[in-house]
Amino acid sequence: MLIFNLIVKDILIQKKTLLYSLIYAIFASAFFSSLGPNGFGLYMLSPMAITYMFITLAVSYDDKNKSDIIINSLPLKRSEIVISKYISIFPFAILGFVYSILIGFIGKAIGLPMFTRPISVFNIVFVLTSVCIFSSIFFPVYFKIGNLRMKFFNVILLMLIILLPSSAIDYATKNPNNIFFQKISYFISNTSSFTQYSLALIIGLIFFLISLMISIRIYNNKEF
Amino acid sequence: MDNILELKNLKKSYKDFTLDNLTFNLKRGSVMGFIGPNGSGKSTTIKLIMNLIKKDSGAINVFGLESPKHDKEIKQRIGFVYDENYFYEELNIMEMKNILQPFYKNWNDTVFEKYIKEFELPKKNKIKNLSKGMKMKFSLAIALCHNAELIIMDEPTSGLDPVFRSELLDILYNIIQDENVSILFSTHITTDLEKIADYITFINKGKLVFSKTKDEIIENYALVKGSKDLLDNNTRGEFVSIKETSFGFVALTKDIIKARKIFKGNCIIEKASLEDIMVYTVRGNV
Repeated sequence: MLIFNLIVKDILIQKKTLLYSLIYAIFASAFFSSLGPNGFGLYMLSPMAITYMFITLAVSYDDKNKSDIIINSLPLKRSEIVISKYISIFPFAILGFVYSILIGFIGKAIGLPMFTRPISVFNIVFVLTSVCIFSSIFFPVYFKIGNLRMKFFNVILLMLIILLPSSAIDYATKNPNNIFFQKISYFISNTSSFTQYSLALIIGLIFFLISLMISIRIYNNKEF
Repeated sequence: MDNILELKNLKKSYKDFTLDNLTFNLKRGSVMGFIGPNGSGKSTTIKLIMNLIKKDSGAINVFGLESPKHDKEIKQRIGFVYDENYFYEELNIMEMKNILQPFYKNWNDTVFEKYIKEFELPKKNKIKNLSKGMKMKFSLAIALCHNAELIIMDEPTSGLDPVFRSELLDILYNIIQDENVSILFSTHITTDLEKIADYITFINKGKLVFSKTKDEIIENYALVKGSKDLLDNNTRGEFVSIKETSFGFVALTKDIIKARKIFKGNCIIEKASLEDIMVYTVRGNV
């Protein structure tokens, strides 16, 4: 319950982001529709970017107001504060999905050419896995050094998240004989998409849980 | 009367500062002024009680509960007011209240509304647009409306004008009519305390100078003023510190009765204020 209150807090302090992210989702659907495969901008890039926005803005408001001092003066365990930050990424991502689904639905209804299909399970799995991995790297660093000192780190992390998958795919198509990629492509063509999705989510969650334990350790030792 | 707060041999070291073996108790229903110059360790002590930093050694008991083991339970019953605003500045008073309220089991909205009215706080104003005094009153309203038994205030009057400070002291004076509430009030403006404090705890350079009832201090400490020829090795020993000028000396003694006997008729002996006591103790001989 207390964790739930902390998540509500992270949304209440950035009500404006609710609006900004909607505007962002609309623009992303228009401008990034040609960037990747069908629906990439609207159903993958946009929810990922929105989750990223909410995560980083929530911690920047915390840091700006030095609110750790208030939060840690409340009847809360430090682990609860950390857990709430980790769980908050799911409501943020869901919000991103809701926006995309709405925009996709409305776009299709008015007959705009780039809105051809609804969101897919693949889109959702891809976004959730990326967001889990992103937060797994972001939060321990944030709890260790604070938001102000990690501006540069954020840029690098964001580049990695965006560039790494696409350059990996690039490399794979250029080097079809690489054993590692062959094994992956063998796995993909010989397993059901359900297994693949579950595996992706499980890997994301394992990262997430290990990172959570590290963050709790870091935050428990923090001094304000 | 039982102790609501007990610090025993509390120690915390930083590179350039050590809070050293601090021991004092705060009794239920009383107000303790926690004084000392800037950098003496007041904020460090308060942060230790609030478990914002970790002690190196020693013990902290609040409401008879060991801290930080029972930290969560302890904080349910503590109200805090800090020297700076740490609320989310972009929110208005009611939004911030709504965020804080669910964390307290004994939150009383009627009491909150009462204080908002009494303090004349504008509900719809963003916190960043409030004056420093209003922010402080808002902190106080939050601290007072969840049935806290201990109010911890870290320099609440710093940066406030005299009119506002006096208003705050009146508010506190009303609160302490409730015998169940205790207040730990840190400040370097000692005149704030003369009206409301029952106990004074004085620390300097991380060490306890004294922790006594205010009356005991006011009755025993005194300033002795006289000509320098009264000062010799024996009489010097009677003083905490001595300020010598070309005209004479002013010195602080812990024992007014003894001083009266020694300097009978030769000196002016007057009661020392908390400020005198702090200044003379910190400064040493000049």
